[in-house]
Amino acid sequence: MANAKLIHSSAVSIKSHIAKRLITRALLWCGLIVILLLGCWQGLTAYSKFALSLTDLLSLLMQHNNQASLAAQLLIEIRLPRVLLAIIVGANLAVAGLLMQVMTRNSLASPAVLGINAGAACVVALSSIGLGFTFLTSTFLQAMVGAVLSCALVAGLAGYFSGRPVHPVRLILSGVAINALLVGLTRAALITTDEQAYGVLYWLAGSIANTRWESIPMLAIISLLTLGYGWWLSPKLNVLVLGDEVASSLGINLRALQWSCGALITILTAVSVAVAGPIAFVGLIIPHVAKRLLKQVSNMAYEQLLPLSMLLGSILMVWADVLSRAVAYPAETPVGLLTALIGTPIFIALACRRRLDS
Amino acid sequence: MNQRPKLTLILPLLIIVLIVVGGIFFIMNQKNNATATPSLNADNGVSAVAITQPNGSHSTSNNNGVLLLTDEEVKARLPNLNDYPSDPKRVVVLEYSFLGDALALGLTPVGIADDNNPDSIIAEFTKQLSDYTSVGSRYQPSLEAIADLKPDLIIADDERHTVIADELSRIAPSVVLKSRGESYVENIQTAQLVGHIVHQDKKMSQVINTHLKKMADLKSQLATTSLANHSVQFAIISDKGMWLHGPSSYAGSLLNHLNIKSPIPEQTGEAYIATSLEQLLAANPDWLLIGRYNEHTIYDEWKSSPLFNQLTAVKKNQVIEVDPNYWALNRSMQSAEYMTAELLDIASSQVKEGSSPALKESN
Repeated sequence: MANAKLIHSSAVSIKSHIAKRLITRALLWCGLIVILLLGCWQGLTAYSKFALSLTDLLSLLMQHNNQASLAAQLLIEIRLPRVLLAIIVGANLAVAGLLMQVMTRNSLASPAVLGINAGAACVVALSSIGLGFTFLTSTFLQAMVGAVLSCALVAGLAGYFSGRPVHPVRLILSGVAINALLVGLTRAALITTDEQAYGVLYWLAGSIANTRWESIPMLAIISLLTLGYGWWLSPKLNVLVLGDEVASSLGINLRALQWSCGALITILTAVSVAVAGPIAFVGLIIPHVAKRLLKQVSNMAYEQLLPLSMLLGSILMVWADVLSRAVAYPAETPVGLLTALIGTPIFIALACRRRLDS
Repeated sequence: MNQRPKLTLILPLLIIVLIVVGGIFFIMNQKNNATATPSLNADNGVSAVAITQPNGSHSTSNNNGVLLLTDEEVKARLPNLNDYPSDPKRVVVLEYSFLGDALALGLTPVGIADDNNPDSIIAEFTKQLSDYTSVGSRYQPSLEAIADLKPDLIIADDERHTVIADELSRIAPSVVLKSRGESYVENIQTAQLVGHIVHQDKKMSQVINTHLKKMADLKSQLATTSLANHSVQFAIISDKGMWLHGPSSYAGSLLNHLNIKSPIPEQTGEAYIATSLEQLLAANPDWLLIGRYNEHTIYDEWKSSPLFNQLTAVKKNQVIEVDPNYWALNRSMQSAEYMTAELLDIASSQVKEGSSPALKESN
């Protein structure tokens, strides 16, 4: 009798515990989505010399002729693609960072380690001075080619093309070496030309100020496909965390998985760098924040971690973009500067708390 | 046990927060403060000041609105005049603005830092140059090339070449003056200093007087044209973006001197302002003068946006492509006269129905 009561009460407490966790998880997701929407609203209307508000969009729906007001046109043509780009790029970079940290099993890894940012910057700088790569006409193409080339270089140096599974540390080491080489080349290119250097330096800080609608559809399709494929890989990623030997004994094809992850990281980061310039810190910090948040409310399965990272990455980029207009209004600050300023204290705080816990 | 972890947590966090807050303040200050001129007593204020002759007496006051340096200020800025040769024959200049000043005094530099691109020097200067040696880019001129020329005077830019000032002094007597980011008035004041350094103050004073008189004349002509009540903005376009040359830049301060309105008079923080389409729409100048650095630019991409046609300058067909070599690069009295004459040309070609094909941008 007493045993039955004990079992019943523990069952009730387990149920209420699970219910509490479910509610907390739902609150977390809803709260984050609200923060994202607030950021979008600010991104659409705030810090403009024109008085913009969402009600201007209503005028677009009301009037069926083409006489949309200037404010509505501004919102649709300039602000909306900018906010969308911030969301997509934030999600891309965050997931790329997450995959990087899973693949190298190193919590300080970020896509920059693969030399993608440095490679894109190098090719953009070299093209600006007219040295090689002159067949690449737009900054987008230059950044894409540079990102993919440098990634191939790093992978090659780390031994990914040799046919044997590679220790992650080797990838990081080769990334650091290629990074140094590319950064040096970029600096040398900038020194030789003065007028172009100013423009390239501005691009190097990362900015989404000049976004146009034309870049959004392709970016959205590529990102959706890549992020979807990444999410589909999550069960395998859950196992990969346990270690190489355990994973391969459980039937994971390590090389295929490493190749898939590498390709995903490259595509996600290259496409983001090509459109927005090199933006640091998002890939480094968001996975940590996501893990800390999820630890409170659920297990850390990648099925949930990936979408959460996407959401957090979008939030960071959207709010960083709002701040980039606010800090030196009416002039704009490059958004890469602000992600670094926002991200650094968060990162240090996380690192300190981890030290306290362990 | 609980006390120590708190300290190790708070201290680094505090330092990081201080750094971040400092970083934000730094960015805001960079945007809000005028770029400091450490050496010259430059003042963009339009106050009518008489032009002084080298012997200290005042000439008849000429309301040209340019604040020139007095003799005392020139001497204070360049105290060691005896270190510099009184009749330099082999001058090396590391910026285009000094090239203009040297040529105005009849000196022909033997070495010029021309970014390895002889086309970047404007025609007015090339006419007077016989044969010169390029000493490399302004950002990093070749010290060997400079030394090879055995110069007797080197004039360098204080923003770029302060770090190599010592090395330059070992090659020849050298002076570091403001060039990059200068305003129109600062440019003329630097010309005074260049005149002083080569021991030709009187001649430079005459050159400046002639220039200011000519500019006053052109200015009064401009006042009667259609440009008088309109805002004019000069911008550089490249494949990385568009930079408006604000009121603190050379082009912007020249327009200000000519009493031409700026669409962004309050943005005096930085000389070159990175601009997006939205900010261009907010500025909305009546006349837009663009200097093109690349074949295909961000500005060309903006043309396909429906908002582009909302710009006043586009609607009234008042977007003119100008030569950035004159408007941005070769800052000098000669280019100022060219720029003003070009403005007059633009204004008068608007009056007639047709337009001068050399200046109008072909859409």
